[in-house]
Amino acid sequence: MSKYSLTAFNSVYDGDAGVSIPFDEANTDYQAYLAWVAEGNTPNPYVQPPEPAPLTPQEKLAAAGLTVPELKALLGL
Amino acid sequence: MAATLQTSVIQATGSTTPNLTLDASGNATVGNTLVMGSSFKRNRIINGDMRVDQRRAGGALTPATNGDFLVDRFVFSGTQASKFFGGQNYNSVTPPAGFTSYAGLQCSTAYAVTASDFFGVIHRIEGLNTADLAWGTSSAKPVTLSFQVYSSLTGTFGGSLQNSASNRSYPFSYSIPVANTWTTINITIAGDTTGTWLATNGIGIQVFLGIGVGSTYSGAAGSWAATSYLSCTGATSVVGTAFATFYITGVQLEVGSVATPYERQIYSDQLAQCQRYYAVSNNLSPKGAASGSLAGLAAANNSIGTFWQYPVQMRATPTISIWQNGTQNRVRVTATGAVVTITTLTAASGGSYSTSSIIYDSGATPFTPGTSYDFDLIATAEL
Repeated sequence: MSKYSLTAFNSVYDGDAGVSIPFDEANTDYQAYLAWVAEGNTPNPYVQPPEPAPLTPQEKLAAAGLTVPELKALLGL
Repeated sequence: MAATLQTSVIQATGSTTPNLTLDASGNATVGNTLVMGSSFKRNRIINGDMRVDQRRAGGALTPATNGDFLVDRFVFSGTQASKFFGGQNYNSVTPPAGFTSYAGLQCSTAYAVTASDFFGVIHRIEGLNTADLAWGTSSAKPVTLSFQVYSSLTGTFGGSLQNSASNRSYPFSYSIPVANTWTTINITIAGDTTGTWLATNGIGIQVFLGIGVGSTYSGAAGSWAATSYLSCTGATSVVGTAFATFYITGVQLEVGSVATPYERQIYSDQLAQCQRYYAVSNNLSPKGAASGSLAGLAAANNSIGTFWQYPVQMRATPTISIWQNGTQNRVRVTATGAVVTITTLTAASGGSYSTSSIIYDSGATPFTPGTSYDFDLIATAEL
């Protein structure tokens, strides 16, 4: 594992310091990152978060704040 | 022979009104515009009286680690770990008259510096605030550095001015004749007519006050050199004596060859100047309170939408850290108080004006969409 990890946006994460560093050449932390890369180091690649599991019909209903009887009444069933 | 001119009105030939009126109370009234050789904002040093300490509000650094800020804008530099304690008003000595604060360091473990060691206090001045000095040109203006210093040691001490690339430096020396007493130091330095001196939002001038500098970084005092000198040859090493102290305040760097009285600032103005380089969302608990000062709804299972406009425009797009109740990389579920750890923080920034608009946890999905989370942020754009 490298000290730095690429992220989804224009920034890197410094795992040692626990900070988000923007791609701004005036930022001294970014300057340090560029120097680290220039030394031949490679940051950890960005890891796409896993897709969330699809909601079940019950979860969708709960998210809508409806009960089954209310839904039936709404649909005239 | 000194003489005293006693008069109440000075009026130029051709003027129909007095240029300068003097009264018995010592007041001087200017009839029209007062034109100065330099600006009213004389001091290029920010927080020179050490009042602003956003990071610790007077808390001590035990130890002071390389890169730690003693107070805002004044950073400790040291090539060896665990040799100093320090902070704002460290050891609580009485500040010099007219001051309430100082930046203090005390050697915790005596150490004999090697050639490549250096210890000191650095103040980096932004190039936008030094461009008028015209350093690096034949029109380079002189500056005068003044400060109050207090040490348990006496003798010759040293420091330097440097450019951003550290390939131009001016070592200087000064004397502390009496131990444990505040001494006023005035040092006039000729402007550097060569070298590259940034006039941007990068480092314009670096002021270094040495407290133990090895021979590699020590040079003859009083002239410019094309290398990285941090102090003068033969300077006293504070780190060489266990429990030796070094305190400073009233630091001023101004155009010209004369040290004028320390330029006072309204506290809020001084704080705003510091916030260009370092800002916290929660000044009462910079590293996060139990209940965060900022909040946002999770827009997805790996992001929280939020907004924080910095107190002032920062020097550059800042580095962001996130805090909750003293712990880094943590947020709180507002409704339940449960805490959630962030493994990889991405703060999508609005540049140097406004803040991270999204907190993003790449590679994990710790958030519940639609749920409110609170936290505190720290933004850093130091030189």
